[in-house]
Amino acid sequence: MNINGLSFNALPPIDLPFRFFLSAPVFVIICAVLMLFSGETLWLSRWQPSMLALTHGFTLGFITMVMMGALLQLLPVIGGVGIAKPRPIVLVCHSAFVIGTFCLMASFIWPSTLLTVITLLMLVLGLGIYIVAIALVLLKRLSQGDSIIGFRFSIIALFLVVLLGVLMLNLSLPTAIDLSALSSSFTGKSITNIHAALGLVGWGSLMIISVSFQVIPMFHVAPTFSKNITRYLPRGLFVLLMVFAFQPKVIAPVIVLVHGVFALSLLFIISKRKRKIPDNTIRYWQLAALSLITLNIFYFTPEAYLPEAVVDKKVILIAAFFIYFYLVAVIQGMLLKILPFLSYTHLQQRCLTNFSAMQFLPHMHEFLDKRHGQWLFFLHLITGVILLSTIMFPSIYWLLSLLLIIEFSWLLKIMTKVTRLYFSTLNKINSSVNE
Amino acid sequence: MQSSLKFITVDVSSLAPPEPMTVILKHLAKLTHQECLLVKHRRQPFPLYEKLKDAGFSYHCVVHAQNDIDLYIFYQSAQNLFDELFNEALERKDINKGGN
Repeated sequence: MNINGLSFNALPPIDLPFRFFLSAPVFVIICAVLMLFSGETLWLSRWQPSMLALTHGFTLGFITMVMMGALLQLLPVIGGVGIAKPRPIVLVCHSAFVIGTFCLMASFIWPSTLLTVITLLMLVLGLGIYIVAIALVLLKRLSQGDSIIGFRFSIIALFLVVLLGVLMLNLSLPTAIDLSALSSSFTGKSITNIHAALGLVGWGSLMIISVSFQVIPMFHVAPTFSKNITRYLPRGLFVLLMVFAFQPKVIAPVIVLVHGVFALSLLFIISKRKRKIPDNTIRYWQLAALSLITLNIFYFTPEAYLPEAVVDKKVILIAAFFIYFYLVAVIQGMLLKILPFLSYTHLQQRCLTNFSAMQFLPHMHEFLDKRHGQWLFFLHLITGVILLSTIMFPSIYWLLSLLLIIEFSWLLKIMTKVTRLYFSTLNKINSSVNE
Repeated sequence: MQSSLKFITVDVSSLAPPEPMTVILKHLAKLTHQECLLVKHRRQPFPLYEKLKDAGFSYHCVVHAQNDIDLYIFYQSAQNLFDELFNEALERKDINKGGN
């Protein structure tokens, strides 16, 4: 195939994804403060209002926030095309999403019709425009087909998550629509379980899996994943999720197993990379893969072999393990890789029209000190262990809160340093062009 | 492909990002209007394309396989010469047309 003169979009301006990245740790810090003030009662059940605020602070405020920003940059790199008019779209999406997520957390703790209406408007506006903008790109014929197909499924899952979320939120309004009229599957807590599964597995995991097919071979000079994995795993996972809505007890173990298969193939690809230099992002990928394998062992261990206290908390333990040791781990690891990479790439491209400006480019390590990334990794490990311990022994909630504040403040510090260095270097390059 | 356009080959396929871009930039900084940079890469550097055009360069990419691409970069003033040489080479089958 010869490619000559086709229209390819350049990377969107760096401040657009960076505003998503920089907002994300703030939400976890807010969650940690909420945890500190809520005390032990927060950990009594997953249905506690503060726990709902906490889970949405993590999943929307951190996970979705970073993924939204990362996808803006990944699409032009992987598929060659980015969203049209990125600045106005991102300005609206980011602002509405930040306000909407914050109001959603608040509305769980202080239920009010006004808060619910603002939440609905802001989240539908922020996520709705974002989904349409990304969908318009994904509808085009792009290269790297299997990953792009995974992205499509993931965006459909996000749309369904938003739809179910809106339907559930509307129940607290005077003009509520009764969901049980739609289907017997949409009653009681089952709709929440479908909403959670679509969010964590369909939007979160499916996107991470599809991204991994591209970024691991690219960033770590590793072989490509097996064609069977890239072709059938995202499609299979999406079909399983659709059936999960009607047969959750039958499908849930298969979804767990599929993640085990992904974890094994991930570890295999990582072990085959050409240059086995120590790398923090690789550590995070390995942690994520080992966590998925551990999750499989835990999930399939007969309850008779587990302590009663663990069996009682099995669902919340699995959810916390999946979110913290898999989703958040991969996202943190990716941030450590893409923050310096994007900064460097954007600056390098500036030098194309003025090669003498290359002298101002800092070394990659100046953007992010490897030791700082390593400390973040160890902080993440410790915080994760304390998270699981807090679920079992809620009295240590204060320790978890403290560790979360330290970990995500550290992440914010790392991000701020990268951003500052980017803009100071950009100023030098611009000054040299104007001279 | 020979004659009046001199080809400079650089292989960045075993480098991790952003090293390929660093190597490409260093070579482009020295590239003359009578030279063409042939970059052997594992993937298409999509975001680079538009920037290359803005900077007065032209490019031509040949995708041989999923992890094997040849990217030709030259000054826009050398477009006709490149097309001529490239078509000649295609006829002689010096250049593999690639997959797809």
